[in-house]
Amino acid sequence: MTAMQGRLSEPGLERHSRTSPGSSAILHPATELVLLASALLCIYGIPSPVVPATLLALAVITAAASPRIALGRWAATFAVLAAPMLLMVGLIQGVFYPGDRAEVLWRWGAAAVTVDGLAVALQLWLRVAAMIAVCALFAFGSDSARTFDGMIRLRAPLGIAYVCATALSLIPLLRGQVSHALEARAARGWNTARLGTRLGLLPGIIAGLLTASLVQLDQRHDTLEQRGFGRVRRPASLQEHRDGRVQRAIRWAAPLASIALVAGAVSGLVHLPSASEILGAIRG
Amino acid sequence: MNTRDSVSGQGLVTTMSPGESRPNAPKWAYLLTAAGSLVIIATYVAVLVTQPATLGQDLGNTTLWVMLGYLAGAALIAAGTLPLIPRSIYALMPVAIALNITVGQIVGTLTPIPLYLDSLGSVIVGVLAGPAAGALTGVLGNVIWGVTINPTVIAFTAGAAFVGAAAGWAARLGAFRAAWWAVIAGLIVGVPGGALGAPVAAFLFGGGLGVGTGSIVATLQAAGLEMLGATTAQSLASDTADKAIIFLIAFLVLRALPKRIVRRYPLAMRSLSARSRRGAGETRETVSA
Repeated sequence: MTAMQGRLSEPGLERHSRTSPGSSAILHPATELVLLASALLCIYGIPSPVVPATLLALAVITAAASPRIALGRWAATFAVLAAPMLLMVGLIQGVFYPGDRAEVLWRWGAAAVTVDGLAVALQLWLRVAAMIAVCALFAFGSDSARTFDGMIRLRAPLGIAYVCATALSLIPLLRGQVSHALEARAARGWNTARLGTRLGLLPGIIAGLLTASLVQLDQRHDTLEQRGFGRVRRPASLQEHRDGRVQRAIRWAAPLASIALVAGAVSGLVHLPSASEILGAIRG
Repeated sequence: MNTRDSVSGQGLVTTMSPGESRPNAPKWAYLLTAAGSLVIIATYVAVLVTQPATLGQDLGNTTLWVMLGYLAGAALIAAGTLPLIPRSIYALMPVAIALNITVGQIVGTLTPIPLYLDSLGSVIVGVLAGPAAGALTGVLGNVIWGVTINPTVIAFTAGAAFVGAAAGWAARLGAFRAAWWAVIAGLIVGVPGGALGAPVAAFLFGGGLGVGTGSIVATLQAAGLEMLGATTAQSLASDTADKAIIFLIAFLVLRALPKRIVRRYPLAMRSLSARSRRGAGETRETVSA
């Protein structure tokens, strides 16, 4: 489990040893959240491979250009999350596509590479890859305080903002505690490399984690109460963020534009090339 | 929670009744929760009735309707359950969400087992604090996990809300008093949970999310099943086993938790055997004295 945990990237999670990502951010966290939601709506709302491909390219350019995002870590996260999906969806739909009238390119027993299957696999992967790319952009430039400020700016209920921000800060702590608990059990002779052993040890480890975390959270809660948390509906931001008329306009314009685009695509008013049209053009 | 209720570092002294007494819950909260559930069920039925079992070369709008219906339903449930949850329960939810994400990310997406184990925290919250808290934990957990580490889970938010709520209902019925009842409850909860997740797995991800689950879908499609049929069969098999294991682990965790923690949550007392309840009661009296 420890090795697996090591592979987990930590976008968006608390980084105690580094400068807050908010210090060099151009966008207010609320604007980032709105842009993220608008991008996700476009990815799934417009049935054309052009949209996810464009957003994927934009995400790559942003990751390369942004001083806040380490391109290598962003690319590694993207690869870890998107590559297995490409492999699996390519295998499932590319080789075992169940459509009756699919055009077969190559057949071997039950396996058949079809044009339809490959088109479906590639489009599904493009959508997921674009979604992973834009979410990773947000996550790498964010931390729990930025998320809290963004949610409060968007008028999310205080309790929800508190739960989300606290959960973000707890994930790396919890992972560290799981590692320590496993190391402690390994030192007592348990073969923690075996999955069965880990599953057997899970209830005890989780009970310990829950108890320790609840006590920690109680202390945090006491502190927050004593500082008057929850007494006002819109508390002051935890960090300084750049904001202004342009960003406020973006926060209104981006969702409205994406809703209009999706509505246009669904009703047929906006036409972007579909997969079959692109394939037809490629074949001449 | 207020400062009178707690002794710093020792947790709450007084108990509360999450999910049991909700004197100030407005009617609109129940209406929103019911509306959210209806939207999710309607989306599921509409997808089954109107959409083809296999996606064509042009994906069409199926994915949009599945995403919109499920996420809108989950948002309504989150808005509806929020006033039903005492503020003190908010302290429990971040831990549960972090637990969902930590265990779920390791088991669900990075190992070849066709299981997820990504709702352990929601189930524990459901058992301790009731169905509303369980559902809200499921919704928030998937959204946070989605925007920070793994965006693919956002679409499964409706199923996560159902599992958290179902754990609360099972706890109210006393399903966590014995290990085998917990396993049976998990098996039952896994059926609608798997059915709800199937259209998402099929139409948004082509069944190719995890290595383990994807292998099962590939095998079933090779055997002649349609895309939705293959993912439904895989989801039902994986979800029933997954939820049975999670409910069993939650049962074991509940017994491993210190009584001081458990007795804060009156609903959790229903999940303890009569002997354990007596033990917890004695501990409470000792503390009071």
